[in-house]
Amino acid sequence: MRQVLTNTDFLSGVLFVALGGGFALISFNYGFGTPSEMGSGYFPRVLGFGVLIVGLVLVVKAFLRARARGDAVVAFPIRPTLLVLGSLAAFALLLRPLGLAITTLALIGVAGFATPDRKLREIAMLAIGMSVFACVVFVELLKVPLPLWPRGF
Amino acid sequence: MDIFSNLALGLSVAVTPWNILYCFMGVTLGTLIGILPGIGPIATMAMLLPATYAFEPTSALIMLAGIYYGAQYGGSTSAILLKLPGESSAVVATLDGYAMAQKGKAGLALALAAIGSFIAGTIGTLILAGFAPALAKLAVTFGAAEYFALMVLGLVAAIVLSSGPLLKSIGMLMLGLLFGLVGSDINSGVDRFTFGQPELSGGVNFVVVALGLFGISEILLNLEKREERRLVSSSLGGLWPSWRDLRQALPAMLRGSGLGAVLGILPGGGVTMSSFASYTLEKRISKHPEQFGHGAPQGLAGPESANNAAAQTSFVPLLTLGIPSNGVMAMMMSAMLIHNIQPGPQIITNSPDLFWGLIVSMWIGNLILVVLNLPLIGMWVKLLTIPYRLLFPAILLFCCIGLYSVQNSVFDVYLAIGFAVLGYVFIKLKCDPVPFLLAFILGPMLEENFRRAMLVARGDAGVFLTRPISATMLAVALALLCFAVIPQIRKSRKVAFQED
Repeated sequence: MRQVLTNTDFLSGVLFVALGGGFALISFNYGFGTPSEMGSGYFPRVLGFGVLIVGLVLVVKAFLRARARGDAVVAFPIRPTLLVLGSLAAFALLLRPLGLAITTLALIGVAGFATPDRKLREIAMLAIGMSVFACVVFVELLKVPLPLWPRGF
Repeated sequence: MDIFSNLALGLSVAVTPWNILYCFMGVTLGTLIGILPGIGPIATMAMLLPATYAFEPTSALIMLAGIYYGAQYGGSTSAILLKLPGESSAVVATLDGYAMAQKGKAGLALALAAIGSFIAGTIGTLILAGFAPALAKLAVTFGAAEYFALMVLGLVAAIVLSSGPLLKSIGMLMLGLLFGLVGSDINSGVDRFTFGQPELSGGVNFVVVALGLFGISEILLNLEKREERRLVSSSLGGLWPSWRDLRQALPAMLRGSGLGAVLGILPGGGVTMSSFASYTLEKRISKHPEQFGHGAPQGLAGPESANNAAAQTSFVPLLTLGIPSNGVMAMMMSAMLIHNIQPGPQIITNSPDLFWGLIVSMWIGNLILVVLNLPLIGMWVKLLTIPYRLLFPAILLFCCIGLYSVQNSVFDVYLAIGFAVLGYVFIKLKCDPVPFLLAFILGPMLEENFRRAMLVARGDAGVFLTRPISATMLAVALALLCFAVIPQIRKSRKVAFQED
């Protein structure tokens, strides 16, 4: 049983069922129409059920082949994943109120801790260097409309 | 004669100082990022796309195309020197290229790769120039049914060539189509799957999906691996190949170019496949197959030429039919749409300067690669010694800036976090994200053409089978799918992608 649950076929099947089912379910809010005049719900509903069926087949396949050497999933390392995604979230949260210069420090500061071979001084230097680089290249040279400094400055 | 006047027009567009500068910038940036392991050409182009918003459409496309083949060349550089392929089509270069480097012939290996790429680029450009107008002429006669069938064929080819198990790829394909439908429906104006978010009514932006699925999730995967780099420390050896080296490698380059050019045109665009195919071919016809894997120059020159020729000709379906055949072409297509150019057969007639300028600039880009990159090799090698722990935070920052500037909103950054998680899970579950990406960009077009064809046929699905061109394409798609299911071919498909 445990072998089935960690099997990539089983897990991707579950993912497909959830996503396909979700799309299919929501698509009931949109008109289905007729084959000659399809509504906005026609295509998504057909596809949603298609994904759902593929997912179910994958789940069944996983159970049928449970005895065979399963394609087990490797572990998901939590810490680096959370730090990387957290650094992106920090960028999204801080950019508007604080501006690019400070936000870059935060992003690099958080992301830098995602590797085991980190060095504090290195991260600090990288953060400052990238902050200057991003402000000069993207905002000054390429004129990407990013806020540069905290609001009110 | 016609082809020459067209190329002359292209030359006049591509050889303006600004366009040469953009081409140069693209090629250099592409090489720079291609050399760095862990970020592929799709993510690179997605990251740098916002920087081209302010450019003329032609210049923007020239630069993006430059990034593409620069990234490819850079990918083989790190494959040769580090045994780390910068991207999937450079995997073959890790075999004989790295073996050559270990023997102290790294300079020769890099030179052969560059010269092979240039020869292949030249041949690819000529084929593109000769083949595209004819195909475009045919494509003008296509109606909605033909377009639908063509897209189905392209998508089926993509899943047959994808690296994941077939069933999962089919699921990924349909999921990609569904995600492509998010946003307001063109026919009825209804907002679909937007959850009331105004940012979503224009659909999920391609840059968000590309950076989430390919850029950020690649970083997550790389962070898991223990970093191990074995830079060839001994000297690079002479850069210039001797006459004997060249004579040995030249036939392989020409064969690789031909093979790659043909495979590149096919829907599903086999850039990676063409380098594997060329390697197999060279090994088979060689008098000394035992040298392969131990530094046979043909085993490097052939595949390197093949993937460059394929990269060149994979522009054919996009520029003539408006259908991207691989992830990079999907990226180019979204760049064209951003600049208000509808890819398709009408490009050649409506904006010949853009079409021919882009084609000629690709050749110039290849020239720049040879002339500038070989002397710069020392600098690229230094770059390779930058540890990944310093690289990925910088890449993340560029991703964020790119994401934000799509619609000047942090909404897309949050959305990309979602796609990054999805992409990471997909790869862990052995679901290939490439069919997803292709389907994502084709989703709205596929629905639109299907609905239009059915409307014209008054709801009779038989229309796809009674029109000869559409029926043929659907039959080919079906045949491809059947082929993929036959165990023998499945096995060889596995072999071809085992090192992916």
